[in-house]
Amino acid sequence: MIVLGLETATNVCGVALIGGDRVLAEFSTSGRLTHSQRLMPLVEQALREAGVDRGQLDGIAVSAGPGSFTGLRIGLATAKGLGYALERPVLPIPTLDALAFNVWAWPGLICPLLDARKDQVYAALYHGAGGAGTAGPGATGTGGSRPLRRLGGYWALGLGVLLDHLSAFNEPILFLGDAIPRYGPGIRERLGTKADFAPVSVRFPSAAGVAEIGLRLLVSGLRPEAAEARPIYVRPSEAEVKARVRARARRAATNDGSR
Amino acid sequence: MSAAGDLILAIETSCDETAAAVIERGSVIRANVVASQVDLHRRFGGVVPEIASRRHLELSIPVVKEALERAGGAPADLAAVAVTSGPGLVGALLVGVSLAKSLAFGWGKPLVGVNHLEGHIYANFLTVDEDGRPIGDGRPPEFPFLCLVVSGGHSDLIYITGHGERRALGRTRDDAAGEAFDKVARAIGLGYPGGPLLDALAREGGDPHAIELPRAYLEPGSFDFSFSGLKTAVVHHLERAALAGQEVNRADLAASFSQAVADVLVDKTVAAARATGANRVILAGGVAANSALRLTMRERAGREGLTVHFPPLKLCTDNAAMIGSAGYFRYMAGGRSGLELNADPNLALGS
Repeated sequence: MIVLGLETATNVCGVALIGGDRVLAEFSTSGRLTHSQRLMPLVEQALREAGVDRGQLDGIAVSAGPGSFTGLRIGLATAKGLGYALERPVLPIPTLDALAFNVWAWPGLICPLLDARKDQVYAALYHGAGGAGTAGPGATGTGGSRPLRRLGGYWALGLGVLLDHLSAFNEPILFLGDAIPRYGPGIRERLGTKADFAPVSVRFPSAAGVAEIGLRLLVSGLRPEAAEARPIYVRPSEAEVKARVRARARRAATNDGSR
Repeated sequence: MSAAGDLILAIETSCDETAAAVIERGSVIRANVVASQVDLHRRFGGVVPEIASRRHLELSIPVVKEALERAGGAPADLAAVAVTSGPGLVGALLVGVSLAKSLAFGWGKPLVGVNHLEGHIYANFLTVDEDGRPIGDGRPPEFPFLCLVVSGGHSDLIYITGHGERRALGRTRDDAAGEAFDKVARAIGLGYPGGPLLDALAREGGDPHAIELPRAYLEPGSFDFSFSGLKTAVVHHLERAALAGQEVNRADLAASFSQAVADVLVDKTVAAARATGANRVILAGGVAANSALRLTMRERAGREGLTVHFPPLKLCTDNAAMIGSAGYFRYMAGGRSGLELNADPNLALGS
């Protein structure tokens, strides 16, 4: 089986081809060109250099967020177009799952953090596969294909709230993701030696990781259709948030008036 | 389906309509699917770019699928995939561009990026509708002609001498005509989208000469437009009336505003026809549906000896059929886009 992986949730634009037990091609860049200009030429190049015809693809895995709204849509629209045209399944892979997968063997908690702007981070929390009570990749989780056990959902929240939550755990916590440069010092200050940070080379989302998780889902029998693939935004749009606030204010005013 | 080489699949997501179409020889509409998001944006009083982009991503595959099914075609029959690459909302454009690129690559078909304004012009080259009936007189306009594109995003006057041969004569320097309609509609308490509602109100017995409003012609000889002063004048009229405790006749105000916009658009179009020697004028864009503009343009064109052509309303507003027509003629002229094609929110109408 050969799976194409696409990663455009953050500044990193990545494309990888994974087949059986090998990474056939992987390109990753965080240069100045937009993902829109880079992504499809990289797909074409990866296939060409790996000697894989597009018709040989068994599925397309795509980093589904949370992350940059625009980046997610470029990745998802591209994956959907490929999946629809080639009549292949499209597998949306949660970006934070793919990040944690980079460091799956950590013997403690894994906390991927992506900068969500507006003084928030996108985060999730996982039990590393190297810890007590867990085995290697594939031992736990959905469909026997996810190597890590996620504790809770995908969050968009302030660092302080997250650290309050994390301080209750007595295990070492490994942080990774593009929010580390900005929030690393604050994490270190609050959690001390309990906190560690992944090396830069595995700190960012990787298309190969996305492709490999996708491959496992295919092996497990999942065949999601291209039209069904959806991004995980976590946050509603700004306009919806404001509309809700206004609606709440109106309701409150009406209630006051009725008293 | 007909022979390969004739059919274009077109995708349009530049604003708040998710659209796909299949067009034969640039003129016959085999399928024209438009999923409007108007209901989604109404409660916000205008198009919210992030919400539009999210909706485009959800609707794009179903819309493409429906267009292919209605056309009764297989992707193998397509000559190329055409897509609007600008101008428009960048996040919205990116969904269509990303999808079109991957579809073209997946099917092994050429990709043709199309300018949205060029699409509006080519709406007039669509001569057979989805049911096989002729559109208008069933003939494409003869070159050369003058095209006035007026919509929520554009007010452009373009002189067209052949496929891919054109000269931009003027454009708006501030609000687009349709944008002015939406803003004034909001100011007088109408809903969204404002243009059609304002038109309907004006037609409820509104006197187009009841309220004196300014018409901006800019410097002599200019074919550019400016509508923000007119919009402000309407707001001031409302404010003065409120201060004086006077009731405003909203139908009169709507009619007077519509007439002021129409007068400037028509005067400049006629002046441009004289300057270029063009004797044919075609209209495009959603504002081409406005009754005051239609009436004024017909009257003046008749007096000036100009032939004027309005595309049907369905092809005035945003759609992918027009992109398919423009894409076809571009494709026939050898136009191809690479997989690095990007969305360009300010894409200029080059030649």
